[in-house]
Amino acid sequence: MAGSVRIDKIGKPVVFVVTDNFIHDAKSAAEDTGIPRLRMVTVPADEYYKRRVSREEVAPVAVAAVDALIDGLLRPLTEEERGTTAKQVEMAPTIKIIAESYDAALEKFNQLFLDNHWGSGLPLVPPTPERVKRMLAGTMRSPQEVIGTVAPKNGKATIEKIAVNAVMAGARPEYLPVIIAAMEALTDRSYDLLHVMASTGSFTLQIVVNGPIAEEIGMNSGIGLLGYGFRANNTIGHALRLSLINLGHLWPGENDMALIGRPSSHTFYVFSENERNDPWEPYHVSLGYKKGDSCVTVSTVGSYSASLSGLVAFGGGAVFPWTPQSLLDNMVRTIKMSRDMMTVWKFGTAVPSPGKQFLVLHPEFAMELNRKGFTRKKLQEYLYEQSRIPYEQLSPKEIASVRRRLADREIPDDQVAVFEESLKPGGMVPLLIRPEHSYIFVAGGIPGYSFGTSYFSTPPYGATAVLTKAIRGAVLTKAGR
Amino acid sequence: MKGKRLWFLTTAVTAGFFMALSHVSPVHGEVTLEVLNPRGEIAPLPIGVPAPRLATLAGKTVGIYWNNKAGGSYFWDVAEAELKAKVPSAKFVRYDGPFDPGDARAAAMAKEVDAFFYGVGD
Repeated sequence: MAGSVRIDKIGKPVVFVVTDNFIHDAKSAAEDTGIPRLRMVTVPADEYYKRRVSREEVAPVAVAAVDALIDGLLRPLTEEERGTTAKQVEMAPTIKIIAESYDAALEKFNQLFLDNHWGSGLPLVPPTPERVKRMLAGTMRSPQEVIGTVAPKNGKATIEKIAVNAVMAGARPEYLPVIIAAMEALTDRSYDLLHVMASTGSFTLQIVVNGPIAEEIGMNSGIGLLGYGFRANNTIGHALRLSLINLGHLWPGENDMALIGRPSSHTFYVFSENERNDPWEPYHVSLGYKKGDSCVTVSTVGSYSASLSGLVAFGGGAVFPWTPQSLLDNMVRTIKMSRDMMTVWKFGTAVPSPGKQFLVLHPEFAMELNRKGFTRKKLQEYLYEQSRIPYEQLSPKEIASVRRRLADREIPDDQVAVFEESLKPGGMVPLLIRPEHSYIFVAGGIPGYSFGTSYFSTPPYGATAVLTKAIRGAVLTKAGR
Repeated sequence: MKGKRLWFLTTAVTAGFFMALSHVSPVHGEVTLEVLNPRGEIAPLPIGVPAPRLATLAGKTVGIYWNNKAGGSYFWDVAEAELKAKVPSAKFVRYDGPFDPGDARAAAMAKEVDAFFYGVGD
C-alpha cells in the first residue's frame, strides 16, 4: 500500500488492485499511509488464487476486472473522496458494565470486549482501576510514560495501557517489568513489528528471559518450557498478545492476515534460559550484559514446518538414543533446506533474505558440546561453515542470484569479500550471511529436545527482528530494578 | 372538619410515600463494573486526497506495477491485452519491484506514466 500511496501523492492517479478478502486490510493500510480513500478495485479471492496458475486459467478473472480498472482511473473523485475530515474516534478512559450480579457483569464484560475486538478469545480479568493500580505497583516507571507506538495502527503504548492489558491477561504485578521490556523491544524503531503482526506468513514471537528475575518470578525453563502450567510464562505471553491487539488495533482477517493463525497464538513462545544447567555464559552475557542483569530477547520466528521456517525439533529426548553429532547434522540439514529459496531472496519482496536461526539447545546437548570443546561462538562458526554449499554444486541460477545480491548491495559490506571469494572454483558459498546469525539459547529440562526456528535476517519493513532489552524499574523483585 | 383534615393528611402522606418509592431502582443487587480502556490512542493522521482522475485513457501511458508474487503476471498479461483492445491508443508499461519501491523509484516511474495500476498479490 505504501508504494501506491507514494505514487498517488506525486499526483499520478492510482488504482490499487486487491483480492476481496484483503479489502479491509487494504483500507486500513491506506488509512495508515495517508490516503484513506485511495481508489481500489477488488477481484474475487476464491477465483483469483486458484486460477492464477496460467494466463488461460486466470483470463476470466482479469477480463472481468478491466471495466472497473478503467472506471477507477477515469470516474471523477466524489465529494467524499475529496474530503479531508478525519472521523473522530472518541476513546472513553473507562467503560461501565452494569448487570444484575457480579457473575452477570463478568460475562457481559468478556462478551463486550470480544465483540469490540479488545480480547483474545480467552476469558479476561476485568481491568478495574484498583487492579490496574495494583499492577502498576510492580514498576517504578510513570504510568504516563510512552514507550512507543504499536503497528499496524500505531496506537500509543504507555506504561498504564500495558498494565491494563497485563491485568486482563491475569499477570502478577512482579511480571510487569518483563512485559514492559518486551514491549520496548517490539516498539523499538528498528524492530519490524508490522510484518509479524500482519503477514500472511503467520509468523510468531519468541520471548526469552535471562537473568535472576526469571527465577524470582517463577518462570519455567525446564521440562514443558513451551507449554502450559506456569503463570509467569503464560500470562507474560498473553499480556503481550493483548497489548499487541489493543495498542496496535489488530484483528484476524482484518489486518492480521496470518492465514492459519499461529501456534501458541495467545501466549507466544515465552521461556527463560536454563542458566543453572547452561555450560556456557547466559545468552545476555554473550551480548555484553552482566550476569546479574535481567534481560528480555524478542525475536520474530516462523510458525509452521521447516519450509516455512517453523519450529523443528533436532533431536534429543528419552525414546531413541542420540549423539551430539546427530543433532548437529540435523541442524545443518535444516539450515541447508533454505537453499530452496536461494534464487528467490530479494530485498523488498515477500522472501527478502536468508534466515537467522534461533536455536534452543537442551542442557544435555549443550553440556556434551561443551565437553567436546564447543563454545557458543564455535558452534555458530561450525553451523555457518557446515551449511555452506560448494561452488561447483550450485546451479547457474543460484550463482546468478548470489551475484545479483552482491550487485544490489543486499550482502553487508563486511561479508562482500567472503561471498565474492566463494563464487570461484573451490569456493564454499554461505547460506547464512554470517556465523552470528545462529542465535543460541540453552533451555529445557533433562531429558529434553533441542529445537529451532528461523526468520529473515533482513525483514521486509524494518532493520531487525531480534532485539534484547534490559529489564528495569522493578519494585517487587530484587532483580530488574 | 378534623376528620376531613386527618383523611386528607393520611392520603397525602400515603401518596407521597408511593411516589417516593417509584424513584427507587426497581433492581436490587445491581452491579456496576468499571474497567479501564485497554486501547492505544492513535494520533490523528493527515488525510490525503487521491490524485485527480484522468479525463480519458486515449493517448495516455499507464504503468502496471506488480511485486512478483506468483501468478500475478498472468493476470496482468490478460488485463493489459484487454485494456489495449478497449483503448488502442493507450500505452501500458510494466514495472516490478518490492512491496514499496521507495521515493526515488516512485518518482522515476511517475515521470514516465500518466497513471498507475498497482498490485501486491494479496
